[in-house]
Amino acid sequence: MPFDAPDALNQLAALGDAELDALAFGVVRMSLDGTVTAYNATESQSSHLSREATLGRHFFTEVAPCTNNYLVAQRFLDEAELDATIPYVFTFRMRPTPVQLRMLRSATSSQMFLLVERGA
Amino acid sequence: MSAAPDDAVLDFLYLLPLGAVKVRADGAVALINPAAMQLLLAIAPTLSHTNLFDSLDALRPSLRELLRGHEGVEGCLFEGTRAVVRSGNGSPLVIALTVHRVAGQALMVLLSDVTKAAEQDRLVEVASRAKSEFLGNVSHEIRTPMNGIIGLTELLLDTQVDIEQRHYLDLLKASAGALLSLVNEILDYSKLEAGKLQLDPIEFDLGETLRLSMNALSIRAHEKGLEFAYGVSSALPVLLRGDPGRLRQVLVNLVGNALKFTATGEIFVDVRELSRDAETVEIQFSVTDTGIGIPPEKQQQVFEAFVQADGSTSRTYGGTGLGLTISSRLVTSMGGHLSVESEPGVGSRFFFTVRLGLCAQGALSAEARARPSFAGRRVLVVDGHVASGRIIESYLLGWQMRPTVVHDAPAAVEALRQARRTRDPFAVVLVECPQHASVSATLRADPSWGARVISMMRTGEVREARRYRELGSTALLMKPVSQDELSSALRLALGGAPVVAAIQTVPFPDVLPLEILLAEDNDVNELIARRVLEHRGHTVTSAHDGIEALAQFDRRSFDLVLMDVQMPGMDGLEATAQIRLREKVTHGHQYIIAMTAHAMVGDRERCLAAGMDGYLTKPLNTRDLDMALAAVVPGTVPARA
Repeated sequence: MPFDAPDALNQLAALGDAELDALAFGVVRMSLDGTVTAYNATESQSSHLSREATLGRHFFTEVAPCTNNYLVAQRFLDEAELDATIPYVFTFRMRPTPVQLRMLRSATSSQMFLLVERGA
Repeated sequence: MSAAPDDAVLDFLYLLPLGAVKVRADGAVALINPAAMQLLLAIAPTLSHTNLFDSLDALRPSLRELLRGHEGVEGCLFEGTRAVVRSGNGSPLVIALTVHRVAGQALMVLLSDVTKAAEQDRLVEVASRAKSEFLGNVSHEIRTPMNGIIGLTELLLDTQVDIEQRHYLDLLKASAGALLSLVNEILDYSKLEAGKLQLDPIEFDLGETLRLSMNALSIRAHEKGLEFAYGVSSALPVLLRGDPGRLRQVLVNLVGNALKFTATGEIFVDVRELSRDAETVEIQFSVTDTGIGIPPEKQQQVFEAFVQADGSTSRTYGGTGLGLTISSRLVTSMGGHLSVESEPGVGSRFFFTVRLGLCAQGALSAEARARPSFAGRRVLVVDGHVASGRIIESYLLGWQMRPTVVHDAPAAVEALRQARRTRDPFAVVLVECPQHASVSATLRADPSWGARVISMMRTGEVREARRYRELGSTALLMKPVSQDELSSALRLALGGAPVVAAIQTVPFPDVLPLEILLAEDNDVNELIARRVLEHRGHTVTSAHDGIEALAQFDRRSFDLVLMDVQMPGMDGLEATAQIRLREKVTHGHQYIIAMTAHAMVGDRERCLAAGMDGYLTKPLNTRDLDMALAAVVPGTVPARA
């Protein structure tokens, strides 16, 4: 599936770990409180963070504190229905890296997704 | 660009709560930690944050602006510099920036959010300003009774008093003035803090200003057993234009400090002209002491507020630590600079220059005015102190007299014998008492010496005056000796007038008796003004506020209304406006002079705008009052219909 696929939330919810790892963009799956439940291979390579270092930890405060702000974390908190894509800069290995972030959340799902696509 | 940092360094920087960014010379971000990214998002959420200069353009000042002037400099460019930006939610965000330039023109930028600290600072500043305002108000309240004390002392000085009483009253007045200066110091500091301090230039008598302030300080000097002397270049004009209060304030402060920090030895004040042009004269004042001195590294610090050279000196020597700060700023505003030279254990010399205006009618020099016209007469000065002997000598030389200065009694007797041998006797012998009183006794024992004796005493020894008179003194002088007093004493000694009648009250200028309405709410001020006016032969009617003043004005006419500006009920401005309104019908013009305690810039304009004809500041200066009254011609008020 592509980064900008419509109905992404439902498609992702149906994928297992191996299928997530096969995707070309980064995927972080969280419970509604922000705890990481899946961290795919693409994201792990980019961030130099192992799956073990991220699973079970709070994404916004422990894994990626640079997203703990009103642009990212606050929107997940505030918006029950969320499918928004924003340009952003990650600090992978302290290198500023422009990315596209897609934030996905639905009132009917117990999962939230953050998709990360490294830009040009 | 240097090699990528190792993992340990990255982990450390990654977790650092301080924003850390490494950028290339063009601002391109090479390394950035999450804390920095957080701050950048708060500053400029819509930017890409790959160029730090762009990201911080919303800051005031921006990073680009801050870096201006630091081109090519390596090392720390600035540290903790604050810049402000309005954050996404509209509240101000204060960022502290520290920037180092490392090899290869890369910059290390540290960012931290100091919004809370800045708010704390602001609150502290608000509290501090409130404190300054409070101090200002309290000081202002103290000024009123102080002005009462000074005014009443002036009244006493206008009555018949003998030389000893006059001397005490002069000192009382000067001491009260010095205390008032201290209160004003606090007021000034609060004004300085608020940037509201202004000079009030008038024409004044420099010698008189010095004499009064120095006499009061001499009590303290003599109490400490210090020799105290001051010398004024006799070529200086009598009248100058400047702010005598501020000048006195600086001198009292400097001499006061010298007194405080000197245990033994002497304090010497020197006043001399440096240069002159068509309109101004540049005068240097210096105060030299033999006190504890100031170490070189502390010499600039003493000009800072609340600082004394040694933190412990405040307790040992007392004082607010504000004096030099205020003096330094005052001197700067008078067009000069206050400096210090000092050597620990040897002493200090504080000196400053000010530029004062020349006055047309004051071009006469102090020397010319005081000249007692005893040119050629020989004077023997017996003074154990070199500095004061030198000053007296310079005054005498200025009058073309022929002084001989000796420092002890045997030398004095030898000089007298020598004079007798050469048949060139001394007309006057100035004797420092009680140290060299034996010289007076010698002269009295043998009238054939033929010299008149003038005794010079320290202030605390006035009670001894009668004894010296019995020893044959024809005049008495208080140390430090001023040029004017020396001149009077010489006139007395050589003219033969009795000592008791030494000083008469100053004659008033010829003013025709006036009918005056005095509107003043403060009883003490009212009494002082009334007495001063009655003393000059005027008739005074009092009013305690604007309404009473208006009622009196409606009842009858006056030659002059002296109108206090601040009064309860109806103030002076309003009362004046009412009088002017009535005059639209009567076509008369009541002469009204304002009196105000404020002496603030703009007061004069406010009073004149309200329709007043003149303006006097309180405490009433008798000379200003006389000049204002002389302008009023009685009976010229057009009769009202």
